[in-house]
Amino acid sequence: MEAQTFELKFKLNGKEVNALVDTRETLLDVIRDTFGLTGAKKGCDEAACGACSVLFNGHAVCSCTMLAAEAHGGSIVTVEGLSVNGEPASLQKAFMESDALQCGFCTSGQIIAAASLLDNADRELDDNEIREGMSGNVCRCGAYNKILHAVSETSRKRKAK
Amino acid sequence: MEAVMERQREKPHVSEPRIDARERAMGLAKYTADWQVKDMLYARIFTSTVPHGFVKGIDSSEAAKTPGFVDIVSCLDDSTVWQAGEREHERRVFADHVRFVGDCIGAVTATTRIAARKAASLVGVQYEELPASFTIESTLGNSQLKIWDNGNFLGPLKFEYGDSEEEFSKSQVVLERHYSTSRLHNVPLEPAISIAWWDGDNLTVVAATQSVHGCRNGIAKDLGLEPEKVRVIGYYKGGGFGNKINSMNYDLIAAICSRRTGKPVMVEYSREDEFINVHGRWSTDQDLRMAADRAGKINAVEVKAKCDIGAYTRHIKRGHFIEGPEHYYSTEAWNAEIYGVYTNTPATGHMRAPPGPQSAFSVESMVDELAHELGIDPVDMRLKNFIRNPPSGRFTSNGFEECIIKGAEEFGWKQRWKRPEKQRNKSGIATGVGVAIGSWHSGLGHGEAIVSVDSSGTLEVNTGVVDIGTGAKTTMALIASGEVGIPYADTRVIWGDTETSPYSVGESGSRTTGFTGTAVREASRQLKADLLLIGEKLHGISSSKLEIKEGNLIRSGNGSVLSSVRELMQASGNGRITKSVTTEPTLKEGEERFVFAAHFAEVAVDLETGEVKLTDYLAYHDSGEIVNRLTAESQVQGGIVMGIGMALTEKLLISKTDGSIENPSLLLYRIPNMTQIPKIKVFFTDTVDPYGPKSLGEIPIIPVTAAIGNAIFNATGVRLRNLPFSREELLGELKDRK
Ligand code: FES
Ligand code: FES
Repeated sequence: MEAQTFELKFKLNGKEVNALVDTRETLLDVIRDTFGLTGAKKGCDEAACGACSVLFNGHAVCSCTMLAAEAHGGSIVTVEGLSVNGEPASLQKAFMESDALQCGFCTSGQIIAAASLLDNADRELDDNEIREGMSGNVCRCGAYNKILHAVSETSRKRKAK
Repeated sequence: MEAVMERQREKPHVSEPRIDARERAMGLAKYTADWQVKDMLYARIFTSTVPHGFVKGIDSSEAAKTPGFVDIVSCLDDSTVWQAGEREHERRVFADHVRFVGDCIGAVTATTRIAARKAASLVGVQYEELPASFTIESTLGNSQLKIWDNGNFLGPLKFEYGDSEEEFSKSQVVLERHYSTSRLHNVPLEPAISIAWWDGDNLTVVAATQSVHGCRNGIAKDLGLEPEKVRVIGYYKGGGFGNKINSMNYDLIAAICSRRTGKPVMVEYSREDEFINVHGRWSTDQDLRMAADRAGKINAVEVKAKCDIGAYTRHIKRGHFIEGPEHYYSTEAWNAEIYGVYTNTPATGHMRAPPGPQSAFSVESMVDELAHELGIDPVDMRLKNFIRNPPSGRFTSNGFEECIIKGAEEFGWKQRWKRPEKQRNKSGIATGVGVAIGSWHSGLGHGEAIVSVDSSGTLEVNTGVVDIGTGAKTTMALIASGEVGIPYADTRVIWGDTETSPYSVGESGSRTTGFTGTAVREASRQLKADLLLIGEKLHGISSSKLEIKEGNLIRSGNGSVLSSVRELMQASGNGRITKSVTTEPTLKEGEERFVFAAHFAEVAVDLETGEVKLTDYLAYHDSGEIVNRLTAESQVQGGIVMGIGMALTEKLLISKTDGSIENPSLLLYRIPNMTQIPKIKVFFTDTVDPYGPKSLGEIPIIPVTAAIGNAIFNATGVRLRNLPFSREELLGELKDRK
């Protein structure tokens, strides 16, 4: 396949952006290399680990198996886009305080998956719903108990509001 | 977390979030792949398609036509030896004698990663093929085979004490069983990666290593450079669990490609490359015999094992492919004979407690079998036999008994354990509980640290740790903060760069806290002494009556605040006070230093489908004083999660026709996800070891598989002796039973 370029326009963390990209490039490579947002990680490049998760129009997707061109006209939020005025969002704080991260390589993906799960739920989630909802994001360091704790705490607090 | 907090506390436990939690949670932590180096090129390896042979020719004409192609290097023009890659033999970075499908032959450098991948796929290699072996049996049975010229196996390694034949002949009960464990992979979530560039003959490497100093020394040795000419930087790592120890071949590849092209080069492995080209855990075939008397006293253990170590092995200690259980029990005799057998399959090496879980699986399953045979409660069986002191000498501290007794209490063992035939099966689901114990060494050794305080009262801890996820930076900061008396919030760390930080042993072998942490403690003590002397001068009160707490100088006894550390520093006229310390703690004659654990598992087995679900798990550990409960608990849970994978799902499938890995993908090699993990309760004993905190990183994975297997037996009456436990085997056994 020969290189072809494409004028990509989309919303990235709330800002309209554009770039000339190789049509074969994945969204993950473009976010990381072209836009320098390296929070999303490449753990497998085959939609099997979740480290590359970003929000695409409000839902978590694996950016490693999505072509950048598919994001055209859409809205992408990465882990960098979750913080509020440079401070971690409450979900991120819950991860920090619960020690829901060890090496941290899966963490941005976990947080994006959790954000998607929580944003799209209309009630407090129970542990098994969280486990199911987060099952696409693996953590080799095995921080699962703590991740579950961080997500369920955040779910409970959001409900209480 | 709750579990820890509910405990009666004799003294306040420290439980702090990681010092770098913010960077990691906000996506700001820079891992190797996140570096953007100007003018950087991408290198991609190409590898052998045959299991065994000599490379006879390489055709790069098609590869060179790829737009963006810059350079190709191979075994034909570079013979650098990666000394750390194989302890017993010579392993070249680019193999001319290839020994497995996937052995690295060369690398292509290009301007983009897409071009590098494309060009690497177009390289043609001609081979002269050689006889190959993919199993232990065929290696040992094939006299034509020469994986290595001077022999196709290592060993036997013998470990022996007492007169085992005598014990076996006079004991009332003798069991004989076979156990096996599979080839596994570490699967750090961050695949192998390295970036290198040269400035004259000075080399800089941004490495994904578990030890910047070990990496530097290894690279320098292999490339014939003075260590001072090599700088290794490694701030954030996505795990390693033993397969990013010291210098890796991909670090050398990056350096070689960069020297040839004159540009910075990134070598990036795909997940598939990582599975094939970076070592995992060896498999084992173990024949065990155990002798006991009717009262349950274990008299002798015999282990005969053969391990498939692949074509290369990185394991540090010659032949120690089975090790550990001789430090779980006091028996009259122990007799082990171990072989490591080469095959034409990918390399093996360190993975979290390298021989630990394989060795624990067989012995801890067998002790359970013995308990069942004798009609003894499995916890009582362990209490009758656990080791109080090593055969010749004594432990520096030993909380084993407390782990077993209190663990059983917290778990509710007495109420939950019934003989297998009495466990009730509810609606096709059988539940059962299991126990297993384990121990692991806890070394001491050379440590270096620089601890200082500046005029603002900020404490700075500078060590060469890398923090692959263990929380080493946090631990070092907490040791210093606790020792000096300056709040953790006012403590910062410098780490992960050979240029700026003193030597550290590296995060492997559960050594960082014992080695480097000891130096941090000593430097902090000296720093505190200096601050107290400044206080003495300033306030005219003897330093023996002064303390530092929460960043303030206080008078002992009444606790009144005299001044802040910041005021002390200003009064002293020093911009900064620095203590640079090297420590070399050694054990006294006859002493051995170990950590201990008892694990308890509950499983629910679906009798129709054979599905095993973990429903509860509890771990009780003696790792001495715990520097930080929060991260220590995470480390224990993490080891258990990895052990659950080893028990239930993980297995590298090795092809019978060419020895290649058939499942080099996270879709096919299944590591646990959140749905498979129960609540894991973690407890620590309050053991105090005279040499300070003991090790923790490796022991949590050790007892897991046996605890689960024993629980499956308790639930179903079926004893599974091969890892990972297979549903088919379980269902087959259940059917035969009916
Ligand atoms: S990198 Fe995309 S799912 Fe693993
Ligand atoms: S924290 Fe290391 S993989 Fe999740």
